Amino acid sequence: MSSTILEAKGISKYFGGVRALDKLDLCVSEGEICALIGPNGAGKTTFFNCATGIYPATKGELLYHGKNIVRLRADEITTLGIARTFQAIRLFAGMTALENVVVGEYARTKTTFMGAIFQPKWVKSEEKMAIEKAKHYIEFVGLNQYMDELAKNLPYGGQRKLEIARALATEPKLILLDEPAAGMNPVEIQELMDLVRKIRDSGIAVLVIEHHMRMVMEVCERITVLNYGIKIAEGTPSEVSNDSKVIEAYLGAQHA
Amino acid sequence: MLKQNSNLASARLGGLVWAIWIGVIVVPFLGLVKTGYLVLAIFVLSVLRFAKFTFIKSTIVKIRRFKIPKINPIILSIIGILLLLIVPMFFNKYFQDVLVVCGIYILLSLGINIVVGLAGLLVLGYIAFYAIGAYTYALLSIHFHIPFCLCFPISGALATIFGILVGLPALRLRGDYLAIVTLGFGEITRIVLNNWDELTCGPNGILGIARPSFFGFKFTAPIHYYYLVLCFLVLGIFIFNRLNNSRIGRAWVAIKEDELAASTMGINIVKLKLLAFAISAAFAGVGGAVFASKMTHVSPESFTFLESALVLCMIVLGGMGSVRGAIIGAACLIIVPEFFREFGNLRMLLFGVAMILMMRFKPDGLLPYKRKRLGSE
Amino acid sequence: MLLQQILNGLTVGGVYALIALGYTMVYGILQIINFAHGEIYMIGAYFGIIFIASVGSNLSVSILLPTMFIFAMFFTACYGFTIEKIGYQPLRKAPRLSLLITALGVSIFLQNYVMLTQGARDKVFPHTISENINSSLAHFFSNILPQKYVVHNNLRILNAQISFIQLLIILTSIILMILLNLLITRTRTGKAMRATAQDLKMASLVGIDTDKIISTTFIIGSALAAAAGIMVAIYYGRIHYFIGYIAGIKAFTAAVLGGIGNIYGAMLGGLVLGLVESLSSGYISCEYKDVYAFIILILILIFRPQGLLGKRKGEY
Repeated sequence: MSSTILEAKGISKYFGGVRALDKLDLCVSEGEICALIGPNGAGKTTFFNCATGIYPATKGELLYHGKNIVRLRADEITTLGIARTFQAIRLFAGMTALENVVVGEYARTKTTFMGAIFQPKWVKSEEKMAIEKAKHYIEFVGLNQYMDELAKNLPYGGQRKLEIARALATEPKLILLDEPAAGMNPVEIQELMDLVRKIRDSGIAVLVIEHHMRMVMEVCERITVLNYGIKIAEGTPSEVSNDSKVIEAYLGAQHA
Repeated sequence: MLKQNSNLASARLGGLVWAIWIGVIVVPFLGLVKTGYLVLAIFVLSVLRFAKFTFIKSTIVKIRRFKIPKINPIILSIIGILLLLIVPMFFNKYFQDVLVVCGIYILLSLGINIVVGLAGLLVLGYIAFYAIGAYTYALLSIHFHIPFCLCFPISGALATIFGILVGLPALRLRGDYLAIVTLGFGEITRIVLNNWDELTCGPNGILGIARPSFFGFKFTAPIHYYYLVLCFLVLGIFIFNRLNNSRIGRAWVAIKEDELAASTMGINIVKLKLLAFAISAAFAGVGGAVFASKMTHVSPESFTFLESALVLCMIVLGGMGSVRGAIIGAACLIIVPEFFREFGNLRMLLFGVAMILMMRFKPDGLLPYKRKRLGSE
Repeated sequence: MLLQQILNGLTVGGVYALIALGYTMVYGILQIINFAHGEIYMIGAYFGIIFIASVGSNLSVSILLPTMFIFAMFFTACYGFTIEKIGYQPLRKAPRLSLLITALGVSIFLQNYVMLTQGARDKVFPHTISENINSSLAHFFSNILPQKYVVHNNLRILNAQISFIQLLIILTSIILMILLNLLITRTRTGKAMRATAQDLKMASLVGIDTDKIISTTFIIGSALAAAAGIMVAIYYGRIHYFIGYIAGIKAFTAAVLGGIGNIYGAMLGGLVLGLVESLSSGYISCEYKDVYAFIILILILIFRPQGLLGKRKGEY
């Protein structure tokens, strides 16, 4: 049994009176590709936002390698080793693809204010390293030809991949992908599935929110199903797809 | 052809309607005769808009196509340095003075460029830091006779401290709210300077600030200040460029582009914003100190909201986020109006019109900045 | 003393509230700070004085006052409309900074336009006419109110005295605010305005002509500011092409204080700001009168950025 990276214990998030997330337990281990699925408004993105420090969970614990990260800021959590992408693409539109990825390395580089001005040797070599690494990540997701293109000029699928490259550049142990296949065509989805496996093989655990069922069923090893903020099922793809509660949530009661 | 004619006719009609409308609303202010001229002018202009200026258009295309021949960058920079160092000596004193003022404003533009152009934080009370720098220099030289080499860094440091003090609470706010808080801070600074008679001598300001001297050499002529400003500018541009092309500068731009995404890249938003605030305040503080030493007189009326707006306009005009934008913007707003001195008060009116037209037709500034390719050197 | 300061505060506060409404309505719909709005108020005041200068002295107050208000409010509304059409409408999709710079440009333009055409010196509202207005009002109110309240053409309440012009300002402000409230809550246009403020895109999708609504907003805001301008001209007796700036910032403070985008907030904010200013300059120090406004502004923004009546908007 490999070790646990992220463990959510009874995570709840209330917005005023709305329970977006209710006592969710969830667990991601090393080398795993997990999925978080559920109908729209089920609280999946809310969980991502809690787990990456966009806003704190109302109740419960989030353990990253046993350390509670509920109260940490977004940048602190990224520095610890959780990276994410966004459902609505949030690239730095006015920067080039390469620069976007170099920004991703912020947490892993150390150039200080004084260092930036005086540029001693270590700063120069760090800068060089950062650019080399960024190029590597861009090649990793297969965007070589767009290296110096402004992020906003990339095609849609390319932007999604660039977001993944940027997240990978933070050198995470766990990457959270928020609907990476949304708006992609079948060829791109196939590429994306390969990419997700490649990320896992490079030693990074993946937790993905996805509506595209083929991707979820083929790639993911474990699936958690949410509905109205509550976990209704958990298990392997075949277990989940036969679960009556899941079918009810997706298709309505009469189909169950 | 027919369609073109009808287009022209409707343009004429539209122009006429606008001209008459403007005429109606300005009549109480202008009187009948002047309004008549104005209406005519607007009508003619609005019709001309649809005329074919083939000659002008082709000239513009030619200018755009014209590529500066590649000169060895070393030769180019030598020529540039000579231009900057030698040529101003032959200008008259008045124009040298204008250049000094322009230099100070370039320094300010660079500073505000860090916080607005790079980090994307809208600051409307920037001139307050300039004022703090200027008054610090004035008070230090009046009361303590501290050598001027020290006065500049102290002024910059004090402005920085104020920058941090304002930034700490204000940076939690976003967009317009931050703009308003800084505007409020700017106004408070000016009013306090105006009323704290014991320290600042109130509205009259501080007179008789010692001119700086350097190993017995006394700065008196405008050309001396020109070289002083030039030194600070070189330093400022160096710092700006180094920061802009580093991890820090990239983090600032990331914050401007998307604050939330930036925070998930591991960027400590508050720390980086505060840094931007502090550095830009330091630029303004030093600029203020130079201003005080040059004028030998500071008073609150030099630090009105209009000045803040002016500096902001400079970087918007020149193109935000770059050194050349700051230089072009400052030059356009300081040097160009000098050629229109005869226009007197009409100058400011035209300035307002120019701002409106700029935003409508060239919102990215005269020379829009594109980020440099990474690792291209 | 206290009551006196409160009454003076209400007078100024009414003026602030009227200007603040223009800020808040425009912000509510376009999310821009219309820096030129202070200048609109100044233009309104000038229109009042221009009107008096051309027709003033030989009309009776009962005709003069309403016609002056209508004249100035109408023309100033035209200015608001034109500024929006020329300056702001082409920038609907532009970044907010562009709009802000445009607003600054309009503001600088209007200041210098007024200075060049009307002169750089103070414009005086004829003292005889304001005296005349006051005494006519006193005469009018002495028929309604018991005799003991009217002393030397002033209104006497307990131990405080205000002029009838002050009463006029307070009452006019209240009436205009009630009218605005009726417009917003009871009419079709008002409904469309509220919808546009909620969500501009959505409103245009359900068939509201948002450009027209935005124009309407500028027209109403400008007319209210003009009313404020005239009343200040009568009250203080002199105006200057620069008055728009400080009044604009104060009114904006009032709008933020009440919760920007919220019409009732602007009304409340204006009154609170007027009271705070008059009380603090009465009891603490007059020199720093303007500082208090800004300190309140900053404290409000830092501790309760949504303002007194505003609702906090979530990031998501």
